[in-house]
Amino acid sequence: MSTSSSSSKKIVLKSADNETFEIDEIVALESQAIKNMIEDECADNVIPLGNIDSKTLSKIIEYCKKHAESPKKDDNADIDEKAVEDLKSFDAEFAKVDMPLIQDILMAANFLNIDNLIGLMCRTIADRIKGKTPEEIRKILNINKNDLLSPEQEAKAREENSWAFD
Amino acid sequence: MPKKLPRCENSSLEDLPDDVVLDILSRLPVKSMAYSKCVCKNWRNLVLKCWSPECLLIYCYECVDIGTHPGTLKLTEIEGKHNQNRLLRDPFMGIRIADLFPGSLVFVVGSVNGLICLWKLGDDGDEGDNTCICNPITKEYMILPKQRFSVESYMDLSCGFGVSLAGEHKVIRILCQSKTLKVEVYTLGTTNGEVWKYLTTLS
Repeated sequence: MSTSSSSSKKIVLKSADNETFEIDEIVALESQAIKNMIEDECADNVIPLGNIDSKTLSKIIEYCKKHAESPKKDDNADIDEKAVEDLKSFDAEFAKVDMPLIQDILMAANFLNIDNLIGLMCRTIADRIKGKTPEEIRKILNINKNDLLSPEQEAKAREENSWAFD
Repeated sequence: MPKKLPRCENSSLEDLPDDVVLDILSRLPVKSMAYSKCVCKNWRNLVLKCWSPECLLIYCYECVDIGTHPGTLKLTEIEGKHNQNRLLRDPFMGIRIADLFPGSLVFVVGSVNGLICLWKLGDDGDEGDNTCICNPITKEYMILPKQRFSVESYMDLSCGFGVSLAGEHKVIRILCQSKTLKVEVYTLGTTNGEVWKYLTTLS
């Protein structure tokens, strides 16, 4: 695949629990936030990510590696259909993790500004709460108890869309 | 330096910015959105936000299709890109128009961006016909101001509902009376749009 990039510059990311990950710059550039830091030359050799733990970070690096080495859509209009399919099945496999990790990945992807990954995680969460009742959704997503509707408010919300609760 | 992201023991969606939660909600089928409204306060507010007509424009949540059944508006959800060959679901909800306008004859003019334009023929004692825009998801509706030209028979009128290039929702009425066509347009949401604009008379 990418032959020239193997000799490229390396970037080191440091997770909240002080684990370091050395990756090719091209992989790091999948993150718009890191890209901006590098372009503004405000990135040191090591980029500390104080809010992302190593488990989440290694998943994100796995994702960025795969997507960095796949041909980009804007490069060529007629890209290999096989490559597209390959990336699709990678994404599907990638999303097969438990909900807390999905939420961690989504939060980190939002922070690092990785558009495709944000989309993938949002789609995964939507798929998992599709067709579920409000109680089930609260449980799946571990919704904060302090933000619940009062019984009156919930009754009103149900009333307004009674067609959905038949 | 990037700002610090709050880190929780149990990660929770509350820590996500609203636009990311909206991204999730806007991918849900309409029925799941209705459920989401009951999940917590923040979600209720976000669902209400993305159900407002302006937001439907942004998210282009294409969910409305109309079948005709006596007195009932049936909505069908469309999955994926809008394409007449891809009506994947049965009607999932119905609204009794007969309850909104008892005793009136109601026709569907058209549907754009989740809004539906209805045309209601006046009953006895009512002063002529009315046009109405309805958001079936929230069950909100508005009756447009009286047009200049009223009809005596519904056979004389053609109506259309659409969005202009500038993104404005417009209703057009073409009335055929004694071999002349009278055309008038109503634009929704403009401050000075409280009246129908008379376009032309064709003979």
